[in-house]
Amino acid sequence: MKDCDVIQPELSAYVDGELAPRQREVVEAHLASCARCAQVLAELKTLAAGTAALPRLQPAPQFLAQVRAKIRRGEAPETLTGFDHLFRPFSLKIPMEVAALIVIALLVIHFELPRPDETVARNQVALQANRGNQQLPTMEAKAEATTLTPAGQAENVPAESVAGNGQSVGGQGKSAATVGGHNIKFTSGSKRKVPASNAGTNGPAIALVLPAEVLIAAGEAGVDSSTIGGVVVVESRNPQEVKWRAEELAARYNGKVIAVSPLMGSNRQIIFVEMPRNDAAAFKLGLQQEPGSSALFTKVAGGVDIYNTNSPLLVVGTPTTRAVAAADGVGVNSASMEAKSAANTNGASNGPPQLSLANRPQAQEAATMVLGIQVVPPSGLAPTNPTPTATPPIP
Amino acid sequence: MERVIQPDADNQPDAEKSVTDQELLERCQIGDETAFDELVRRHQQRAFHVAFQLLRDPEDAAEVAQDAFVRIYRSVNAFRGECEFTTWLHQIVINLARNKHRWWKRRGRHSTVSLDTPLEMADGEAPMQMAASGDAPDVEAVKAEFVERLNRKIAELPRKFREVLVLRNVEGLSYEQIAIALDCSIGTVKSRIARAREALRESMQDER
Repeated sequence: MKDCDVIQPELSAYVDGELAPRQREVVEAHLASCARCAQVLAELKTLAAGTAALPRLQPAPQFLAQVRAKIRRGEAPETLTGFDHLFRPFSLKIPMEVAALIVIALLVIHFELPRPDETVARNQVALQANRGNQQLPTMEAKAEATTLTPAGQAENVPAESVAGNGQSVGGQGKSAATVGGHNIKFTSGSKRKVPASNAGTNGPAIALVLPAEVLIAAGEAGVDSSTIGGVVVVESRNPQEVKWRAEELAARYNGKVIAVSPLMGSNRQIIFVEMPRNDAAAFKLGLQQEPGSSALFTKVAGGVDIYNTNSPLLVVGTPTTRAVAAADGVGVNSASMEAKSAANTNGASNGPPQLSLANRPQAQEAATMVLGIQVVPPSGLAPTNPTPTATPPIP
Repeated sequence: MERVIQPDADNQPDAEKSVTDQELLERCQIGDETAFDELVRRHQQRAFHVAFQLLRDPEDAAEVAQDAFVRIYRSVNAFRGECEFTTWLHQIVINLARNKHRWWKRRGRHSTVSLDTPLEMADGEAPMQMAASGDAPDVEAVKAEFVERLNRKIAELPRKFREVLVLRNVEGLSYEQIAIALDCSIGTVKSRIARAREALRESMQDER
């Protein structure tokens, strides 16, 4: 039986006379003693003979004339269409299919992946998360969630950070304020590396993004978002007041208000101030120390600045001195604003910066940047009069 | 010297062929049109029959066979004589038949034409010729019935099996010639013929 399994596959070639002499001898020896295989052999011979006796059709008498006609007409013998060629032998089919997959993948990557503008909010969240993990290991989840809220809900930040209405602020408020402070350091470009001059000395050059709300406001105000070097969140009932003070302060630091976004509801607005990059930190400091805010802010442990929400001009979410210095690239590691100001002014007296072009020649040569001042309603107070008539839009 | 061209010359023994295929090819290569015509007359039935066995449609078979000669005409100068002319012809016919088969398959036609019905062609009815035999009429009838049944069963076989069976048993090609025509190894030919016959044998037994 075992021999039959070996012999029977060879019987077909034996019928055709295609076995080597040695194989043929083995088969014939087996056939002499195996009636079953002999029966199979007989059937195979019958089939072979029957196949050879298949009816033969004659081609039409005009066969040659038709061949000649095709040659004259130049007809292509191929009967396949272009579509059929796609499915021709694997040597063509497989490479074509692989190439098609690559093309499809490239198209998907090109069209389906979100553009940088579309990923601003998403990147912001991711960046904030990274920062929260790396720089604020003790931050509680609630504070983190507050900070990671899309820019359109930025008013939540001061709500957390000013909890207690300017009184003693617990760990939660502190964390929120600190997280809020990072908001002001966003720069545009989701995948752009921060230039070394801007990266500061306290941290790696990481890609920064602007909140989507700031990007939208910049677009509406006609400001190139790539020039925006940071955003300061200011709580105030009166954006117009903030604008006046920003103009006044900017003029003091070699800058000017270049654009103001339209109102975004509930008196929310962004004022864009252009100034030398090296003056940005001093400008922020000056903004904090403006009348109506400086007297009311309270220093709390850890260097976090919290300001009284009753102030008509309230700067919130301002980073610690160290963070401001790092973000602005001034390389100041001092823990105090005064020290930073002194460093920036090359030994100028402390107190509210009284900087001028004359005594700061390096500042003249520094590249300019745009600082966004985002005005939001005081979170600790219900908007007393949010109607546009009380605070007309700033042109 | 004038040469008489015999129609259906491929049915004649080789000894009766006054000119070999190789000589005709060489004359074709220097532009002798009559040599090409002779090649067509000599092998048209072979090409048509193989195509018909694979396609089971006389019009498709005629088209494929004619196209095969057109292709030979156009590429005759590229033929270097690595194989016999008939092997080359079979190779072209099989490739064109495969293309035609796929062409129809994509258009949803899979049916085969039965040899029981008269074969109407565009240019007239094609006569069916049975292999000559010296058996008595009743034996002939039994054989004809068997061959007819066999013909149907072959038509039901996969295309790869039909190709090797036709080339081997109908055209009488050796395993080596079949391997060249199908562009595969002799071992593949051997196993494919064995499997084709086994499938055919089982199919015939099932009908008993």
